[in-house]
Amino acid sequence: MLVRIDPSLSTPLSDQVASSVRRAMAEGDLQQGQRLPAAREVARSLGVNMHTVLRGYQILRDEGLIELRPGRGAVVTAVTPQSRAALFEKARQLVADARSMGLSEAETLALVSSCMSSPAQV
Amino acid sequence: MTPPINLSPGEKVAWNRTAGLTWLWPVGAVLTIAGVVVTVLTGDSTAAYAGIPLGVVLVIVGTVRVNVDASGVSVAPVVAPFVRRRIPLDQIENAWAKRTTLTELHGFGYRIQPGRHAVALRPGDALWLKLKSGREFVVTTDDAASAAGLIEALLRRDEDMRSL
Repeated sequence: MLVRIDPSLSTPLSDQVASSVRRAMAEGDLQQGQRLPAAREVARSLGVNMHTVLRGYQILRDEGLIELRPGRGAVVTAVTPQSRAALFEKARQLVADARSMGLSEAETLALVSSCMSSPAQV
Repeated sequence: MTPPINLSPGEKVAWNRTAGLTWLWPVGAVLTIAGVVVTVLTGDSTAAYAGIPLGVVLVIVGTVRVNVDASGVSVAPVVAPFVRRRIPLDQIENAWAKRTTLTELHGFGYRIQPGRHAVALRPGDALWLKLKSGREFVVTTDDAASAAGLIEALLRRDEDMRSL
């Protein structure tokens, strides 16, 4: 798993840690039941405080992506990484469909953002 | 082929991966315990000679953790992280990933050959480092291409910073 954080960005470092882990899940690099590297180890490698990494892990726990077990570290919970990967797959499919219909990048993005700004539909 | 990684000057990175066969260290633990138990029960030390050293070796080298960050590469057994093999970034000439067989590395475990040290745990994807001393260091790990790409990116960034 690759964690990249850039202190020059305005995004909090813990958010950046969380999004690195999410990316690894989406790419299938981190699968269900697999353990995340120890926060202390990641923090040492990155040269940041351990609590920054732990806060990142807590974001993922709150999203239901991982479970934090005292003394056992962070474990990827069963279903979510796959559905996340599936979501990415759908996004790729959307882009492919839009391209085949001749929509430009700006039009495709506008379509997505109009969906996001409209009230949630089931 | 993984795309090359571009690092901005202040960016911090950490790549790590557990490498090796995850069932090896429990097997080693069982062998070690069985060796001890058999020795105690029978008083015959031949079983211990066979079981215990092999078990201990499997426990220690069965599964390792490979780390890549701005300071370099480190490889350490999961069960004994203090037995750490570190290669500082400034000693690395270049890095690449290659499908490697155990025959190529002359066997299983920590292999020392003239001009090359290798942590060989299974055939397949492996991270190869060429050191400035002219020697090589190899560790068999999944996703070695990502590790190699990151090391190359770190080396490039160091070079850029020096030339400024």
